[in-house]
Amino acid sequence: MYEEHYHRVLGYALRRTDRDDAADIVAETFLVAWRRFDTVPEGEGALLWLYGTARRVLANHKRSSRRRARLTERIRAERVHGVPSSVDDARLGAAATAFARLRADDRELLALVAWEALDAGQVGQVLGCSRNAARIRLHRARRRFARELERVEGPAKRNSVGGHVSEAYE
Amino acid sequence: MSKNRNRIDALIAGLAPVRDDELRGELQISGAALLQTVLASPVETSQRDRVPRRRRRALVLAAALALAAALSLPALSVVRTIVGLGSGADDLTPVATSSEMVVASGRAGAPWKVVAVTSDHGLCWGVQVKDPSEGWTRGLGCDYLDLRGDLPPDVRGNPSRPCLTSPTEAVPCGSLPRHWVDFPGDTTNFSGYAALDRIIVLGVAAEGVASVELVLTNGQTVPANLVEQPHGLPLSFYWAALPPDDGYRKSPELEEVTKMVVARDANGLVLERRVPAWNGNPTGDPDGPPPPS
Repeated sequence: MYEEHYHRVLGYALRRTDRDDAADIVAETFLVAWRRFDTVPEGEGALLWLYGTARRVLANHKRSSRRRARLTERIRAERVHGVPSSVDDARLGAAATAFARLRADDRELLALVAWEALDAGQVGQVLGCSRNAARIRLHRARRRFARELERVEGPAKRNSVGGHVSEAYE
Repeated sequence: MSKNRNRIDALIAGLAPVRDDELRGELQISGAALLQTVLASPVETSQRDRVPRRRRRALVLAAALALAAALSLPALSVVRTIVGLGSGADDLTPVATSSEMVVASGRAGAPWKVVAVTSDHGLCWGVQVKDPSEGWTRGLGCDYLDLRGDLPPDVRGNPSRPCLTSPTEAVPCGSLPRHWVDFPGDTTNFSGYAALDRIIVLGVAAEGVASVELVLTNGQTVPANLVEQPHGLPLSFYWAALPPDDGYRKSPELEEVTKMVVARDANGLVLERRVPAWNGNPTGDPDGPPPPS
């Protein structure tokens, strides 16, 4: 389990916090897994269990020592813009802005799909809700993201991404 | 419909700060270090939480430090202590262009020091703390500096890289106005600083700044210590050691204990009152909206 999922958990943490804190998150997640090994499911479920644990560890970590240091934000932003993408920088910048404006739970939902490549059923397992509930919440989160993107980009680019998203969640 | 959904997901995927496949090179070393520490911890039994909280915290800290150290190993062949914090995803390892410089030091429950080193990602600096059992923490942050002055590239950093100055505003780094003073970070942010019994606030200031005051979220204004151009660096550092839990009013928008930094010249004239970029002045423009009352 460790060899198979370590880099995924590390990636999960690094995509949500800085490098130093990510080390904390990964360490504590695997400590929890080790101490509760009997309760960790086998196969694919193990990764989802680890994601769910890392999510809670991250939440606790932020509660106990929250920060949004300017440095970290700028670093994270640099990374955002440093990722090779077919999307042009302006679009990516607008997307980053729209994404940042979402509520944290919406961001997490969308990130679990887009960053961790989970489907709605797997998202439900990580978040502790049903597949259907996850689908609905994803649908709403995508819609809110599309609206924010429209606001950021202005009327000229409306419907370029989000025009019909309100009807799509499957 | 599904196409739009996929395009949204693809757009968000492009925002990922790092991809899993970029981490594989670090895994064998860091994974082994962490695994060794994790395996040294006891397995939970029927009695709930048998590991004492204090020991558990120490285990987590030890594992985290092992991982943090291992994560930085690729940098060690070039420089001893730079963790890849502050570099873009395209190149995670800053290359040092100077030896480490200790800018300030003291004791606040544990020995601490402010360390700086120049690099190809600009100046890297941070507070390092000596943990009683684990030794010195290691992390340094490197950043593009929007300070005034003719700063060399290994101090200024990369001005061409786009960046955000706030969670909500995208601004090209190179277009940022030059400031007299940097908004500080503090040590309330990382468990590696748990040994400290004071909050260390740290930032940098441009040449010409003769004094710095910190306006705290509890309403107090305190003077910061200014270390002017240490080791020949073309900037100054300021720091203050503050009592913990002194009525600071952090918020989701402002999680540091400082809400404004005031830089003055040698005559006591205010050069700049800097607030966080996300606090009503998203572009960081000194002529932008006024600071919070």
